[in-house]
Amino acid sequence: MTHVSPELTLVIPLVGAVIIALLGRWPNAREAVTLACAAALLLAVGSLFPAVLEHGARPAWRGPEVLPGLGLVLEVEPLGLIYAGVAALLWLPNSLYSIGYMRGHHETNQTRFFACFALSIASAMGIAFSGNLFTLFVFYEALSLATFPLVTHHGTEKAQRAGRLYVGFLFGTSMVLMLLAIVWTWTLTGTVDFRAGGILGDVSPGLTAVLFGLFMLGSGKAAVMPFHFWLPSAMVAPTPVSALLHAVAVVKAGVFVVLKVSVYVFGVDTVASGVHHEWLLYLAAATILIASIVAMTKDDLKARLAYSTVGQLSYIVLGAALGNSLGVAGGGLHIAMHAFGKITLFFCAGAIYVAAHKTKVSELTGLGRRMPFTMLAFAVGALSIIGLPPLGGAWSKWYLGLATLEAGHAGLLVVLLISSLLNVAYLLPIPLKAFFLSPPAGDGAHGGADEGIHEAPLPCLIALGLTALGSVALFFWPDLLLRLVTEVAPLGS
Amino acid sequence: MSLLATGLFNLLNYWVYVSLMMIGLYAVIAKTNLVKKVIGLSLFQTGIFIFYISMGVVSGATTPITWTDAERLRLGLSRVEVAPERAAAALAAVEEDGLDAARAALGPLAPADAARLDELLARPYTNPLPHVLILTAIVVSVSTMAVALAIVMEIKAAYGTIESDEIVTAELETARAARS
Amino acid sequence: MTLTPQVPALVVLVPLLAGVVIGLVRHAGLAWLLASLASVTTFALTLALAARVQAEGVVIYAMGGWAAPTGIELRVDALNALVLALVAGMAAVIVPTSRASVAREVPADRHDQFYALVLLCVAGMLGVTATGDAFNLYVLIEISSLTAYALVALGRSRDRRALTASFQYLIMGSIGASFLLVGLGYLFLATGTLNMADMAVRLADLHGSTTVRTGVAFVIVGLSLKMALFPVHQWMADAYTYAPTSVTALMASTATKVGVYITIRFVYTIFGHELSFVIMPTDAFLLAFACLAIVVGSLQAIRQHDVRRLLAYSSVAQIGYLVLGLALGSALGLSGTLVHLLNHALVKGALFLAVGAVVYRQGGATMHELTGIARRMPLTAAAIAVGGLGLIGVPLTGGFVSKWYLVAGALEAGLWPVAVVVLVGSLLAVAYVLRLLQVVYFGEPGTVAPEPAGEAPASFWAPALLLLLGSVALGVSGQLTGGLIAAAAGALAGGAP
Repeated sequence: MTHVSPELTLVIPLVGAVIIALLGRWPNAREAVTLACAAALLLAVGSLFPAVLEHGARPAWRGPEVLPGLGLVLEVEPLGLIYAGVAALLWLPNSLYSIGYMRGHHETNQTRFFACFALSIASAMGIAFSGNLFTLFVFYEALSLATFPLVTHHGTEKAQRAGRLYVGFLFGTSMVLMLLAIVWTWTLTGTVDFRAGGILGDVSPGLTAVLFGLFMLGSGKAAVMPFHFWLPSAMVAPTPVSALLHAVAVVKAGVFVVLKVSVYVFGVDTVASGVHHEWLLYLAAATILIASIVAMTKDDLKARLAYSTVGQLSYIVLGAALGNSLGVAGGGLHIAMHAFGKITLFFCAGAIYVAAHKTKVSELTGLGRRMPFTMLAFAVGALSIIGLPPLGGAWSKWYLGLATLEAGHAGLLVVLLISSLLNVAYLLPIPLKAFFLSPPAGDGAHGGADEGIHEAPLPCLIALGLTALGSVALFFWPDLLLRLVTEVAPLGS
Repeated sequence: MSLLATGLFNLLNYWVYVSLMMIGLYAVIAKTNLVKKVIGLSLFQTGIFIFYISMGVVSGATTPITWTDAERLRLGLSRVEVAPERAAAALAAVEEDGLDAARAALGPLAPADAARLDELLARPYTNPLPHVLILTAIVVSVSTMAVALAIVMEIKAAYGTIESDEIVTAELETARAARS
Repeated sequence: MTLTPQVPALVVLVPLLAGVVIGLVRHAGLAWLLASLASVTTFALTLALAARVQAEGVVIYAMGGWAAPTGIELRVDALNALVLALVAGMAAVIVPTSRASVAREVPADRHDQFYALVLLCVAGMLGVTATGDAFNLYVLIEISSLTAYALVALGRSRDRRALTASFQYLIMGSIGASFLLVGLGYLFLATGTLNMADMAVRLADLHGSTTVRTGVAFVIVGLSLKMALFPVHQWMADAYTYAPTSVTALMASTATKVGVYITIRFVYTIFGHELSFVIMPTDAFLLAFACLAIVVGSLQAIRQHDVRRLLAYSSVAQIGYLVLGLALGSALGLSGTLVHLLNHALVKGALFLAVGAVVYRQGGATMHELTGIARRMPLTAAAIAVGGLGLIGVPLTGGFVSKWYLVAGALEAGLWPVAVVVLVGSLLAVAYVLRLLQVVYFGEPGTVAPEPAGEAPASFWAPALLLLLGSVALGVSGQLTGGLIAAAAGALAGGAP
């Protein structure tokens, strides 16, 4: 079985970004390049799956060394493959959706948007396949930089404030905490490579605990409270950007770092036995509950979804902090499951905005009659986030639940269950009210207030239909993902 | 008390140098008139010159120029009490056989005189290097004064004053005018 | 007679004599031509010298044939060969390309004086770096400083505040040099020699001497003033803001670096590890002020409206990094300082050249004048962007490598709060750089100042991008930094001044 070399997954979107920037004057050609790159990337990443799974290969690429023994290294491993697979798979529908959204909404600076988007994907690939902490850090920062112009896309005062928060929190955590942890690891162990079982064998337990804290809090993209404020405020960006942030690349990068560092720097067993990690469990649990409660109070649809994301991300942090294979498996699965569910919800929110110019939850009553397809997809996404069969989210929650029991934290299982109930409370009423309640009466002159609203542009609909189907498919065919997480964390016990 | 007095007296040059430096530094910091600041800077540097000159001094030594043995002996004899004929014998001996022979020809002296003479004969001259160095530093200092005064003249031309508080006020007014 | 043995002397003499000659020509174009030729020649000479040091080890040159300790000797090892090449290299890039900028900012009848002063200043800095004699060092520092005061004052035709900035610089610079002079006096008093190598040997037996300790204190304080280490940094902010832009580009990339070099030389080679760090608390003193410099300088930079002043305060912070590394007293810390020295010279030089391009097109360099220039001046904007990222120290620029070393050095010494300060400093750099980039790239052109007519001449952006290429090379090539580290280790061992 042939596979591509891992650096190609970076080269494709990078070259794409350059071509997109050059083709600014010809929008159709520019968008064609975006789609072609997305397809090519999907093929490239796809070719890595069989190689890693069937043949146990770990394709690698070594770049220049910036310091003796410290260089850019890419190495494909199963956990990264999940993240890369999700990002590559969702880039295609997201591009499709972006085209519909940006044109339907007459956004300015579209070239910059698509170029930065491609750069973000390239950074995400770098994070996914990073072979050491240095490479991880490089692309983690690159992702923050590449997404900054996307968050401040509108250039308004509000967007700039969001941009400042975004940069402040992400750089603040990564440059001060994560980089400190990386350099510290290097001074203590002389290496920053990822190795199965961890690299901190000789480090004293106290210092290991300090490093654990620095790494976990340093991954600000995971939006663990109190480092979550940037995420809701970044909602000011266009909806495809929100999808990128919440599903494709950014927050997933954060939780991916948490998982990857737990597994390959500390080692699952070290997390469980040698590190004072309980505080992270409680922090994650608190984030899950508080974020869900805050989400219920938000009338703005995107803000509600944003707080939902904050809560869902902490599921993955919880999985990493539990320190057992089931937790890692659950966390790894949840990266994919949440991505498909949440991107569907954001696509729907954007479609409603483009078609009906509605942003408030309270305005959506009865909208199901005008936009039945969109609302149906919304319901599918919501159910996946809640974690009900027959949708993908059920699997990850199942494993996470098992993991809490195995770790002996039954209380956390209760937290997960309460959280699911809260998810039901803040997500499900939206499609239900849209379908089963009648729209509010108009002012009389024009009939109903929703008069003249149609479904969103076709590219948007195709995109959200695909991702909704994906959520269903992940429930019935989770084998591929399960096999990948089993490679990382054997579930034999 | 006596310790303080000796400290003051023996190290008088150094007290002077530090005092001058501090007076100069005070002027540089506290005076608003730019020319007075320059004067302060000059005082500050002059203090350092005294420091360098003082450090070259060797007590009881001669000037740092080339002396023949006879000249050196003659200088030494003029500072001690010695009978004229023994002095003449010593001067004759130094022409023939050098300083050691001359010292022998001189015969025994009063202890204080002997010590003074031996010191003079052994330690030939004060250290000239600090003086040379300070000549260079003086040149540097003079150049600094020249540049400083040139800048002060330009400031006078540009602002019409050399009082630093008035300059600050003028700048603030310019900024206020630019804003409105 | 072949000139090869005379190269160490020529490195200083070529710019010195060229400066004198240019002062006499009274023709703007000819002055520029001569100055360009002289600076490029000097750069070539420093490269030849560096190659010789690489091949033969320490190169010693007795001025006028008088052997040390009677005579003055030039003594060049790997460390100062590097700094010599840096200073001459920056001059060789900035002087030949400065013509358009100087024509815009300096009156035409002063061009010959301008170039004469620039070359004398460069000669002074090269001499300071090459010399092996402590008093000679003082005189050369004053040569470079006196010319620098005059160069800053030449900014008066654009803004009269250049004069007050120059005066303040003169006062602070003279006091700093005088402190150095006093310190050298005490060291001479104790050791009886001015030759640095001799002094180092004799100081080893005099560690208990109060005279020596007084001298060390005076030298460190004097050098802090010359380096513009917080809290004696204010002169630098004003001087960089109001000097002609090409002067600022040259000084920002060389003058403070030479100051840091001298400090390394004194602390490591002349005083030695024990006197500097065990007997005297030089490390605690420098570390404390370096940390303050990083935090306060960066915070000040965030608040600035004039981009030159912003960059000047950023330099205050960057000097903090340089001093921090050398004060750690370890191979890691010193490596960080050396990489940062090179990187910051390249990046700051490039940024001030880019700002010069904006001044050329827009007549000023406040945030207003930079608003939205990316559309019309894409290359200048790109230089500002890459330079800004280099200041932050994002990975794959030299700034990241140096930051890595500094953090690792601080952690190795068990000083994790210092490591946090280094990282917080780069976070603050993110704040001021992103603010700048937001204005340059996303500002609406024409809203607060007229949109530029077009890209500035290539003589602005081409050298800027060239320098940035060097910074990136430093960031990705482990080999390049490996060589620097070897030099650092050599200086730390105190093998030879």
